[in-house]
Order: sequence, then structure tokens, then C-alpha cells
Amino acid sequence: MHQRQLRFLPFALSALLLGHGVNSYCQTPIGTDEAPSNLRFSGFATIGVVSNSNPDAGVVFSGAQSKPAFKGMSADLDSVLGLQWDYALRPDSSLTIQAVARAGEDLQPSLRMAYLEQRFDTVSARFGRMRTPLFLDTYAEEIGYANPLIRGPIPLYGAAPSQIIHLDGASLQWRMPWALGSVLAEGYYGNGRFKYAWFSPTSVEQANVIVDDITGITVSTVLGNTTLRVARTNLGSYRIDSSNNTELNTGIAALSAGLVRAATGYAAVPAIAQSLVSKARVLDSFYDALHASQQYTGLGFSSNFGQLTVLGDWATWNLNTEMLGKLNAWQLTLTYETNYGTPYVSVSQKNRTTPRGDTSQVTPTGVPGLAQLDAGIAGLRGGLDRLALYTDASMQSFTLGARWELSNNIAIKAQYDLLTTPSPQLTGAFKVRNIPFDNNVTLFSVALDVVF
Amino acid sequence: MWCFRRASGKHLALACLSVCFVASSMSESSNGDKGTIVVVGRRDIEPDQLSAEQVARIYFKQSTSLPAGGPVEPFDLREGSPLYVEFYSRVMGKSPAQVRAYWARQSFSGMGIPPRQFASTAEAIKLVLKTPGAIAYVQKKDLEDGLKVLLDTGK
Repeated sequence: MHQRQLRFLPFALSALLLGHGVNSYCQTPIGTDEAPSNLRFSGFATIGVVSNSNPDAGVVFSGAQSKPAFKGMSADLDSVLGLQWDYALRPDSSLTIQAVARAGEDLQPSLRMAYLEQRFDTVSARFGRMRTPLFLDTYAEEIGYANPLIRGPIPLYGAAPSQIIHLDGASLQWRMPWALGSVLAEGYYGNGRFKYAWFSPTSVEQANVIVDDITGITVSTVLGNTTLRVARTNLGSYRIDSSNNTELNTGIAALSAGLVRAATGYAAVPAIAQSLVSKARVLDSFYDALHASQQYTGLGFSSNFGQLTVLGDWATWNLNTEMLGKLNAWQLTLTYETNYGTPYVSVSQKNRTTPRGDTSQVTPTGVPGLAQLDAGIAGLRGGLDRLALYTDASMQSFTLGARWELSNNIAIKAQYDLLTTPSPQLTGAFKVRNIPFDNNVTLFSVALDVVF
Repeated sequence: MWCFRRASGKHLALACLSVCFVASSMSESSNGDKGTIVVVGRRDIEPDQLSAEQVARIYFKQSTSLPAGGPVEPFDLREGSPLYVEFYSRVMGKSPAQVRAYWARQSFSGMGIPPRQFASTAEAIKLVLKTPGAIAYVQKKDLEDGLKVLLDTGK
């Protein structure tokens, strides 16, 4: 058996054992002679296998995933194990801890939630680490059993939303019934530290993503069989610390300084000197090309009409740099519950709404005697052009599948996905080592979802 | 031009046809009457009645207070017990798997945990009688003194 499959075997076995052996949320029904336990243990697991027929494009769900599903079979895309402990300190306060290990992240356990909650009638306050609700389903996307699809539509939920998965800070929730239903409003503030798997032609670097001053508000309302939710999140500062980024910045700084020095040398020829200084400014504008504040806005709904459920999302990203630009995305999912299973269909699309990073101003000086500088500028232009293509996240997906309930806590799903980007030059959310590439990816997946 | 647009159109049409085919071939699940279910609270609980929608909101913890004010605590029966299945099917229109999926979403995202579960109706009633603001669902034939019927699904 392949080493990767062997590595996954203990995880699969433990998830199955947990699912079968620990039904009903591990919550002992409370008897009058038995004091209710203050500690509640629960968990979720997905054992998923996916087949990718594309030799060029690796598929990931989260930007943190260092093991994409490349051509062949992989258990790394969807497999996950989550364990949660809720401890009631008092009737109105509790401590919650949730640890998650993903196969695509080497099964390294990561704390998703670790917060203290204090409830006051209709208001509750939380302090610590909590999930970040960027869009309708981001806070629950890892819980396969809770979702109709094996994974949320990748154009919408892949990459950034699934990467900025938690924040360390505080939140305030307000829950109120009103005439037509109920309303839940939540405001939150915090910081986050994440990993980002940065793929280059020769290596994969685990970069650190530092996000400070995350502020946001979500409002959701339940109106009969429909849930509506709107969310707005601002990331005050988003920064990727990686050697690739440092190398790019170092190159830009060195070339810019070289141009300024050369301009001093050409002080006697003002036209040339001015042109060199202008070119230095153009290069400076690409310094820290991926660092800025970011804004995410999401509007989603879920409606249930008997056996038919309709889910929809519309979202925008404003990433505030010329390289990353602005994006919008939507998804529509239909599920139909029958006695024989629940077939589903989903379509989604993400488009960049601003032009890709414009590198046309990054041109050689053409000044005799500055050939070495010009060679450096040409090299930088190549790197920036490549970055512009890699950072265009436009893509589409079509999904068809079915879900079957094996028991009250185990479901099995089979799913077909077609994922594509607008051109072989644009990588979308794929992990690609070289461009152009075959930008049509077909996935066949089977997943076993368990909650306990 | 995205070649995928044409492909996705075909796939979407196929998918819709499949869904319609399965939908038309399915049969309605039977909803056998296993006796009238009533939602009860202590005699001093306010108000005197709750609608099915209000009960659903309380059991899904979308509402944490009673319409007249004051906290409410829903008591549940063991998941999968016949009365549990009947209650969620009749009052909420949900299957046990749908309820489990709802609570999986809520609890693992930190939005709330399911109601406390009891092994039997008798145990739930015993604690309702001791707990202000608590409600539970029981079969009408199991009603005891000191309980107020807030919702009668038979009416």
C-alpha cells in the first residue's frame, strides 16, 4: 500500500470507530437520579476520497492545505477530524474547545475554537478563539455532515474564506424573537494567524499569514422556513510572510535603489534622470504587492420547501491591492430529499471585477550603460506577470451528487465536480506549478460524514 | 469565452431532469398517528399557549426567552426515540437526520448546543415540574398534575 494511504489509515479507523461507538453526541440522557454532566464531548469526521483526472492542477479547499489532490486518488482534500469539549462552568457560562486535524495539513491538530461564553438573557459574550463567519457557511464548512455537499463550492468557499477560519478576540451575540421569526446579530473583533501553502515551480512553502484588526458584523434571521444572513468583515491588515514575498520585495527595493542611483549619475541629463526616478516609483508601487486591508461581504439564504432545499450565496472581496483586486462570487445549490437519498446540484462562479495587476509600466530604461539594471527589471517584470496570473482567482464550478443517511449520525455522499478557470493562464484556486495548464478539472468524490 | 458555460448548461439541465425524475418517483413518507403530543411547562409558566412556530424556535434555540419574557429551557427526549421522531416530524417538519445536521452546524460552529436530553418522558416531566421556564413534549395520556399544556398538536 502507498505510504500516504498508510499514513491515513489510523485516522480513517478512529473516525469510523468514533462514529459507530459514540452515537448521540456522547450525551448521556439525564435521569432524575443522575446529576447532569457539566462536560459534553462531541465531534465530527469526514473520510473522503477524491479522484482528479488532471495532471496539471492540484485541488485544495483551504489556502493552508499543503497537499493538493493532484492526478489520481487522494484522501487529503476532504478528510478531517474534529473533537469538541463543552464545559458548563455555571448555568450561564461555559468553556468550549474544538481541535481539528485535516489530512491535507498533515493531520496537525489545530485549535479552531477555545472560548469562554457568558450569557445574559438575550445577549451572550464570547472571549477567546472562535470561528470567523465570513460568508453564509464559512463557519460550518468543515463539518461535512452539516452540509449538503462534500465540500462547499470551491470558487466561493475555497482559498481565503476557508483559510481565515478563526480569530482570537471577542464577540457579542444578540438573539431576539420578532413578529415574523427570530434575529441573531453578532459583532466580533480579533486577530488571526494562519498558514498559507505557497506553491512555486520547485517547492511548497508554508508561509505565515498575519491578519490584524478583524472586525465584523453578521445578522441572520429565520423567517418560517427561510434563513437569511448578511455578513461584513474588515481585515484591518493582511500580510503574508514568505520567502517568495521577501525575495520579491528585496528585488524591487534593490532595482528601485539602483534606478535612483543611476538618476543621480545622469543629473546632467534631466530627461533621463527624471525618467529613471519615475521608473523607480513604478517599481515601488509593487512593493508589498499582497499586503493591504481587505473587506468581505456576504449575503446568503437557505430555504426549505418540504423536500426541496435551496441555498444561495452572493459575496464580494475587496482586497485593496492592484495585484489581488476585487472579486465577486455566487453559488446556488438545490437538494431534494427522497426516501432513497438526497440528490443535489450546485453551480458557482467567481469573477475578478477589476483588471489584473498592470505591469505594463515595468519596462527597461533603454539607457546605454544600464544593461544590468534592465536585465533585472525584465526579470522582475516576468515575476510580476506571473504573480498577476496566479492571483486572479476567477473560476467556476458545477457539482452533481447525492447523499444517503446511513444512520442518524452517518451520511455517505458521492459527488461529481467540474471546475474550470477562464483561461489556461489563470490558476483560480488551483495549485499549479506551471502555466499555461489544463484548466478543466474533473473530480469524482466519495465521502463518509460522521458526527458523534 | 468560457467553454465551461456551455458544459455547465448541459449539466444543469441533466441535473434538473434527474432531480425531477427522482422526485416524481418518490412516495410520501407515512406519518402514522402515534397519539397526541402536547408541549408542557410548569403550571406557573407564562403564557398559556405557544404556537408550533414558537415551539420550533425554542427547540432550535433561535429564541431563548418566552413570548411573555423570562428565559425558557427546552427539554428533549433521547434522539431517535419514537416520541422524539414524531415530535420533530409533526411540529418541526424535520427528520432526525435533519435535526442532527442542524445541531452539528450550530454546535461545531459555536452557535449553540442542543437541548438537554432525557431517557424517558417521566424523567423530563419530573424536571419540568422543578424548573421554572422549562418545557417538554409528552404524549397527552402521560399528562400529570402541575403541568400546563402550552401546545396541543391534536387540536
